[in-house]
Amino acid sequence: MVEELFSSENQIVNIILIAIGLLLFMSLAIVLFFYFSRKKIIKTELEKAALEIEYQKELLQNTIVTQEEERKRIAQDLHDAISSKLNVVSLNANFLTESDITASEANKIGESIHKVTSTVLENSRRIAHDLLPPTLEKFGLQAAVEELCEEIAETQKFQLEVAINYTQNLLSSTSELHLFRILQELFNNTIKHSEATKIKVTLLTEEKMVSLHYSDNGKGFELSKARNAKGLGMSGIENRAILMNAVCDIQSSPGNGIQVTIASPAYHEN
Amino acid sequence: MSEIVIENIFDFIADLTIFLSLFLPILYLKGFTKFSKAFSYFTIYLVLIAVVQLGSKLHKIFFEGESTLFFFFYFLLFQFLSLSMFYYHLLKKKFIKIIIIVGLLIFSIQYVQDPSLYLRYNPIAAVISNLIIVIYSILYLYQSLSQKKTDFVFINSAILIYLLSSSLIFASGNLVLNINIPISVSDTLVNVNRFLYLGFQLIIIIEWWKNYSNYNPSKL
Repeated sequence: MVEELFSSENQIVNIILIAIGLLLFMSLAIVLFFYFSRKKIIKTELEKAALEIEYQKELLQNTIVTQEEERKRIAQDLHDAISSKLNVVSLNANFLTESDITASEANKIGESIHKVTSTVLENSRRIAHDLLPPTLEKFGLQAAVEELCEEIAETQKFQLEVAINYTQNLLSSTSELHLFRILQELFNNTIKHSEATKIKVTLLTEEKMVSLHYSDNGKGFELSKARNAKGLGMSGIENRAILMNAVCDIQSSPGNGIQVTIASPAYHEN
Repeated sequence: MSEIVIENIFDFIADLTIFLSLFLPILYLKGFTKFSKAFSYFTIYLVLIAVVQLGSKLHKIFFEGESTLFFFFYFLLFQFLSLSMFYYHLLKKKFIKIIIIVGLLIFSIQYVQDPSLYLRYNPIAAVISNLIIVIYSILYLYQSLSQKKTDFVFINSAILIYLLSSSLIFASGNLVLNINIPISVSDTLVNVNRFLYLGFQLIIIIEWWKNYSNYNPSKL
């Protein structure tokens, strides 16, 4: 019995059988390893996709909120600057139709109508200008940014430091509009919330890159809080930067103003 | 007594594998034109293996006592060619065709240099061709990691498991045929191989049953 167990033929068979068993085990292990890895990978991918959808929902919501606010603003503008003034014109015109009116009175009313209509005209031009500055379309980003800065400087509330050097057509027209809107939004934020006294704007072209630096010395804010406030400027700025394929860096903390850098690759590099 | 029972079981397994290797092609031929090219090549593989099995069985009956080892030559050749083409259509890699050509060249050089090899057992060719297919199957597993839906999950796993484990049996073939080693050793190995092969065939049936049995053209 013992001799049989240790005889060479049995040993060979045993070794071969053990080796076959090991190979079987190994191949099973390989198959199972791939099977479970695949399961895990698919699971993480699904989670990623869910996150992405969540993010896009948020983006959509932000867009809608911003759109509504913009509509509200335009409605307000139209009402304040045009409708109410036209009411006055209509009232005055009504006086003119009355028969017992003297020539001097008519003259006076006519003068008032002229004055009001020219303000209305001026206002409607301003509203249209705010909606889409004609300079941007006609003369490009550099001129539009210069004009915007001049307008801000005219308010004389800020000490403005501007350096602009933009090579025409380096960005696509959509990206130019995005960049312009970002700058507009930054100015808006500074005017509305920051209590700043100094603003610094730099628009530079560096080797197929366009970069915009903006900083003020206002009271600053908590970045995380600003991001969560839906429909506010910060997420709008970031979304526009994403759309124009640019890198967006916003730095701010209470008491330290705001520093924003937008760097976008040139149009043809996109 | 118990030895006879075990022998009977192994005889039964042997008959079952031969029956299944005739039955599987019939199962798969039904979908030959309906599914992917890979499916067609796998069906070709099953048909060729069935032909070899049947031929070897008939040869044993009609020419009793003669060597059936040359059937093994065809078994290897057909398996290498059809499974390589199967993986060529799954992996979509050009190098597989190059490997087929190089493999055939080496194969034929070997047989031209020593024609008597045809009637002998060729463990090197067996192991190398098996391992090449095993490498393809691992590549396919790797490729399936990033895919949401993969075809031939069962067949691919079965090929990997069976070919890798049976490689050793094929490699030890000449050792077993050595005169100094008693016939019981080779019987054991042949039986183990049959057992593994039965598992292989069962998984192929599972694949067909799970993914191809209730084929509905309107679904595709």
